[in-house]
Amino acid sequence: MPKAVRSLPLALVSVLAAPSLLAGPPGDCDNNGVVDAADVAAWYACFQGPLSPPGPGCECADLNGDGVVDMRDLALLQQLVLAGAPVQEAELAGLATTIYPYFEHVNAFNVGSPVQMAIDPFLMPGLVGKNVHIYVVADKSAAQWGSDPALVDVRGAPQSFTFSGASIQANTVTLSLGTLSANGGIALGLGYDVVIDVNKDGVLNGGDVIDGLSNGIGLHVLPDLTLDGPLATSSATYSGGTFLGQVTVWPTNLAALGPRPLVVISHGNGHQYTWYNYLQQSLASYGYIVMSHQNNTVPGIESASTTTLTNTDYLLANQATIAGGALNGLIDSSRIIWIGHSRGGEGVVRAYDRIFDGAWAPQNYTLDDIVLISSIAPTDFLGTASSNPHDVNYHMLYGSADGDVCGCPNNDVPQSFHLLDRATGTRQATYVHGADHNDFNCCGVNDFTGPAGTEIGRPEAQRVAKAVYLALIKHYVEGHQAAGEVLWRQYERFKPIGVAGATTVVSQFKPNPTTSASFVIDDFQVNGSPNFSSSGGAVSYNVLNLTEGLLDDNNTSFEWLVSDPMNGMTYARTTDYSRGVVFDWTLGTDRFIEWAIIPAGRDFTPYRHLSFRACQGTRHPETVAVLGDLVFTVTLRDASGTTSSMRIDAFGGGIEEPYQRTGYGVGAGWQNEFETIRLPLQAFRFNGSGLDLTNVVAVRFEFGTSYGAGRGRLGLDDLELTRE
Amino acid sequence: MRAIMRHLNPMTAALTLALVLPCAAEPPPCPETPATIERLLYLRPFTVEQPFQHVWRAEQPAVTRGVLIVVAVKPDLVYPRQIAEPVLYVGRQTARRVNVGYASGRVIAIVPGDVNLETDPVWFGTPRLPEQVDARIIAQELEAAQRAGIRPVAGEQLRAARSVEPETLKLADEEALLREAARLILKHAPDEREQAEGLMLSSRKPGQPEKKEVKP
Repeated sequence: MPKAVRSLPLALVSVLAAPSLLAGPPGDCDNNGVVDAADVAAWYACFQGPLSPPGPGCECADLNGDGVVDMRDLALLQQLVLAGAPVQEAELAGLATTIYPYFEHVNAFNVGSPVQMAIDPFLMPGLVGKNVHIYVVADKSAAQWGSDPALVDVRGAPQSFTFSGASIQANTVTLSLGTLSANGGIALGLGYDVVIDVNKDGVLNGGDVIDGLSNGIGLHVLPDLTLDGPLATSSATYSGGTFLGQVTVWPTNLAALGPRPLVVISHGNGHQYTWYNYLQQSLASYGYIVMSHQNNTVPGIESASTTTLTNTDYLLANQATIAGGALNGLIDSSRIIWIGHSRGGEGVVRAYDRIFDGAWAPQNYTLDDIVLISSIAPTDFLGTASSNPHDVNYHMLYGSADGDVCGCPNNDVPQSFHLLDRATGTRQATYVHGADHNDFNCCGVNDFTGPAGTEIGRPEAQRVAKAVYLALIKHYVEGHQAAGEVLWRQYERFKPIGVAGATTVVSQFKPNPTTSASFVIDDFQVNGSPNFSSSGGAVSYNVLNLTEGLLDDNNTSFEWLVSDPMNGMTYARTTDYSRGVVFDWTLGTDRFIEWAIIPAGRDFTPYRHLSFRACQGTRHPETVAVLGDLVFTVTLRDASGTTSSMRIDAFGGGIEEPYQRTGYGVGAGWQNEFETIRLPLQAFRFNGSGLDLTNVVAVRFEFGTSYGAGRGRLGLDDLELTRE
Repeated sequence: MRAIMRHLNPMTAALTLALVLPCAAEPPPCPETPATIERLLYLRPFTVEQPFQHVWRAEQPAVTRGVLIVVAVKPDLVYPRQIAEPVLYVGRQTARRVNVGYASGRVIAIVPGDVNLETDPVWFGTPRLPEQVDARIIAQELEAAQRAGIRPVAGEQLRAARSVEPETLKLADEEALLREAARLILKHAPDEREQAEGLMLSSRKPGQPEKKEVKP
């Protein structure tokens, strides 16, 4: 459900929908026909302690109908009281953009950076002309708001502002120039709620607007993710036998923290288990137990995967004795993260695959306990059936100047992206320009292979790695919402503090299509005809040289040849299934491709983003002619013919040009770099566009000088509507 | 550089290469195979009381005896790669390399089973994953090596290698064998101290770890 323009918390919706509660007003304990603050006092009169059933006349107090009157019921009552007064939830916090839609609503901000809010006067006309007080308040849950609706601005005082009816630009307010604290300890920053106090009474109540009621936070200020966290750490090096050597780092005050998630690191071939201290230290200082183990990589991937499996079991089975029992009972074995590098990166995927296939049965954990896998520049020796992440949350970190697992077109083994595209769960990639294979450990040989002057070096590559791993694990293991934005927002606009401004990082993100209930408009997997999308709608176009097919460069060169339309694609081998489309346009004529939306998919309001991934075609003449970020325009059209358009660089850059590495044929440009672009659907309605998101009949991509770059060659995939 | 280093003693070669490596880039191309070793430096039979699996070939035979060897090699053959590396063979067996050997040009390896270095050649075959190599592949690789003119090491070299530590190692298990291999790494490939220490780590049991603490 989109956060914007939602007036009732989810929990409340479910309570009101419960048939047993529809007979009378739930929570109306003073029986006056309305649910208000007086009912809270009446509820307390019915509360007899934990696990007590409702007494005579107190049935109203059991709001969730579970047979007891407890704090869960009070929380629901408080939400009802709030809802009774029409407090409106809306996305407020964000940052202005220089082009339409002129504002991006987001949750995550770097400490020291400006924070803004905005309302669109056409979507919230009730606020036009109103002079209000705008508060930035320490984050409170819905229940906390229910019990304490007082507004206390963390900045010392609220801002006064009068909303205009002109535009969202006119209603953009700077809340902070970078003074909001991010000092949240291991919580990784601090959360805040933003409130428009319409009646200026200093209390969240009738008519007010809030960002951060039911979903936890309105905005979150993140610290420098490249720096170690606040906790002291301890470490121990020990062995349980052959290929059971481990070094484990944990927060020294682990006993006070209670059970914490386990991160397991499996090194690559010719590497050592002691080479990842930078990452172990970073994560342990934020409260994780991080074990790196000897990995039997030289025989092959099966052997490597066995050592990942057995080392994880060994640590869990022997926690009573390891390091004198310092970890005993304090490892949360239901939250395990596997990180592997190169052969070890494939090994961790293979390990998961073996459990998934029933070929290996761990003794002390299960498949479901593996909540996240990340591979650093993995190999693909075993191929489609055996090195498959299946439905686990999967991430890949990869350097464009990798001289070892190079992505070279003449060999499937060093094409890391195969593994990413096999993942059917939520998947994301972090592709770092100028990083080589061993930049992600301390001590491997320098195999940088790229143009002079583009090498970012080990310290910078490890800053990227530390930031992305902290964000990944916080997001997937602890549900940290803002950390998730580090994974998918365009790096040009939102990169971790501490990472150099000149460092180029290209990100991919695709939520699990099943659990997220995305609507796939076209992923090119079925309906191989270019005239039909995979969802069954018609596709029309006048872009040039359009070809659908397997995302697999069909020869051993990156040199552009007409006979290899998928040149530069390293996302599949012949037994894989990841397909997409490529096309180009050139100077002189604007071009388009348009997807008709099938009737069942025309209501876009349940979704939050229009998402797709795109890449430039390496060494193609049109790519070479531009050699810069590629920009185009996305237009939505509703049933009445109303359109709204957005350039894809509104929230950052365009589609990155390929890293200008040479080799494997004439020209410069390495493997194609898919990059995910996510356009917020509500933003297509800004400034009175009039677009009806309940009945969108077409999505159109438009190219040419009227819409962005005058020429270019594009690969495209995974056009979908997502709820995150 | 490689040619110069072959004429240096292992310690000097390692230090020289260590000074050069941080500036190195783009991995060397993988040499053509089959490729012979340069010299057999050490050969010692061993037995273990507790069998262990030889996971360096597809059949994964149980190992109770074999030989420990040290060979001088062209470093590019053992450059640590994530993609397939040349497989070290001894006769009809795959050898288990216990160190990398790139900087020193010295590889310490365990060869399981009954091997006869008087008749069995030692060579690097086609790059692949050793765990996928089976008897059929070994036979093909041996045939290719023989066609390429690769022969068993000369008798004098063999005798010299045997004479370093001629008595059979009688060990309890794989861990003890790896500790012996670690000792050889420290002697022949001293730049790989970390690898040697890792192999000897098995003597550091969980109850007596090396511990450190870092303050924020």
